[in-house]
Parts: sequence; C-alpha cells; structure tokens
Amino acid sequence: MKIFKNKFVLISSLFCVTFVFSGNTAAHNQAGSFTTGLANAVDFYQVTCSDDGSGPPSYLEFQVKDTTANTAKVEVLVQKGTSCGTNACAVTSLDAIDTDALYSPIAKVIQGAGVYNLFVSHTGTGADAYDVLLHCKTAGNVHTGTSVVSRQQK
Amino acid sequence: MLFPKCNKAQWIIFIFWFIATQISTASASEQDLSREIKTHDASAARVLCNDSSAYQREPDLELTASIKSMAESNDQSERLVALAQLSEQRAIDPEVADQILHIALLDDDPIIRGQAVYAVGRRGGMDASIVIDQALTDQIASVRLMAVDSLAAGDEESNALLRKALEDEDGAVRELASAKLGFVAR
Repeated sequence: MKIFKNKFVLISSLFCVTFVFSGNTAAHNQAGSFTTGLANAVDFYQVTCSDDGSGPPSYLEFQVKDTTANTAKVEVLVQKGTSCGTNACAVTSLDAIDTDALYSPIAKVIQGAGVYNLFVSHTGTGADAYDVLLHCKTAGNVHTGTSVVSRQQK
Repeated sequence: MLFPKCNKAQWIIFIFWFIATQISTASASEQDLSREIKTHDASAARVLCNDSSAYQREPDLELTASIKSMAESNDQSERLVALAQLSEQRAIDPEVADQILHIALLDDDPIIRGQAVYAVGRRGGMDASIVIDQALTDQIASVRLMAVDSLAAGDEESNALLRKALEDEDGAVRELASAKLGFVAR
C-alpha cells in the first residue's frame, strides 16, 4: 500500500512538473493566418491579464512576426478602455520586414488588469500568416497571468 | 511492472533529478526563445536591405551556404525564411537558388510551395512565367494568391497572367489581380 502511495506521488509529481514547464515555454504565442486572404481581413482575439500570484498586471506587451514574405505586411492593434489621457488606449506594431525571422518592435498598452482587444490585420490582399507574442506584465516588468481567446478568424 | 522496485531514498533522488532536468530544459528553451525574439535593429536592416545590384554581383558564398542550410532544415519556419531571402535580389549563387526553388515548388506543404512561387516570380529567370502559370492552377488558393502577388503588372506576359487570375474562383485572388491591373490602368 505504501509502495502504491509512493508511486502515486511520483507519477503526480512528474506530470505536474512536465505540465508546468511545458506551459512556461510554449505559452503566449498566438499563431494564425488570414484564411480569406482579403485585404480587409481582421483576426480578433481577447487577451485577459490577471494576477497569477506574480503581481497585479500593469500592461500588455506584444509583437508580431509576419511569417509570409509577400507584398502585404502584418500589423497588430491592441486596445483597452476609454481613459486614454495618461496612457494610450490603442497601440499598433507593424512587422515591416517579412523576409526575416524577426518580430516587429515591442509595443505595450498600459491599462492594468482586464480584457485587452487584439486585432491582427494586413496591409493588403495576400496569403499572410503570423505569430503574435503576448505578455501581461506587472509595473515591475514581471510576467503575470496571460490568457488568449480567439473571437474572429478571417 | 511499470517501475523498478526502489527504496524511498532512490525515489527521492530520481524525482529531484527529473525536476532538475526539466528546469534546465525549460531554461534553455527560454534562452533560445529570447535569442530568437529580437526586434529589428540597425544591423538587421543593413543586412536585409534590398540591393538590386546584389543579384549581378559575385555570389556571397557564406550567405549562399547559410540559405542552403536553412532550406534543408526540417523546421518549416527556417525553410520559409530561406525562401523569403530568395525572393529578394541578394547575392546568392543562382545555381543553388534554382536547386532550392525547384525542390520547394514540389513541396507538399502549400505554404512552402506558395513562398517558392513568390520567390521565382520576384527573381525572374528559370521560366518564371511558366512556373506562375502552373501555380495559378494550384488547388490551394493561398498558392495562387502568392503567384499573383509575385507579378508586377506592366509587360504583356504578366498582364496576361493577371487577366487569367481574374477568372479565379477565390475572391482574394481576383481582388489582388484586379488591383494590380487597375494600378496599370491609372
């Protein structure tokens, strides 16, 4: 019985460790593509920033990589709230060079905890695919709770 | 028997060893990721700037080897970067470029195929108009879209291919072809 109990603890520990670390390395990338290819295509996601124990969120940091080299370039727009005085409510980041493996410049929207609207669009008709990096962070730049839900795929 | 019989101390050592290897793997992955995720800086812009005279210059052997290596990778994203580099007029050995493109045009993955078609269209040579004409009959719309995207309207051959694309069943292909032909008419 004791052996069984030890095995149970061992297996549980291994699963927990594997789950936690695979989550840390793979999370907060949102890959996608414009299924229609039309110029007016917009993909819409909602990102929730929450306190996962690392501290209360201050801002959402993001970048995008256009993974298809063609005429159209991929851009991300993030928006939250309507109090746009001190900190901007809406910020964009464009991957102007799509022939490399680099992401667009880092951008951030500083609007605290809650739901951020994230729109991915492209500058013209084309078969574009992308990868968005997302990180909710505290005022001290510590990574905190981040989750993404897809709302529209075009 | 799933696990060998071990005493308590052996189990504890094994668990610690497993956790340590997981932490070390995760840490290495994070470092790889942070190395990869760099924003465009001045050096990147310098290396990737489009230099139309590069195609006529002596091939850059180091660059050619690097692109060849990426094109042979099992990682789709690396192969895509290699093909993307070929769509620019860079100082790459034309023979190596043609070899890479010939293989990529037959790839099962439509994303690779589309990127190869775009590179052929942009580079010219190797019967580009024939390759694009064939790509316009590809079953996957994104490949046909890349074919149209690679065309610059103006000469009779390109205009004929764009007019053919106006009959495509996919709305985006028609939209892009129409925009390109409309641009010429203005």
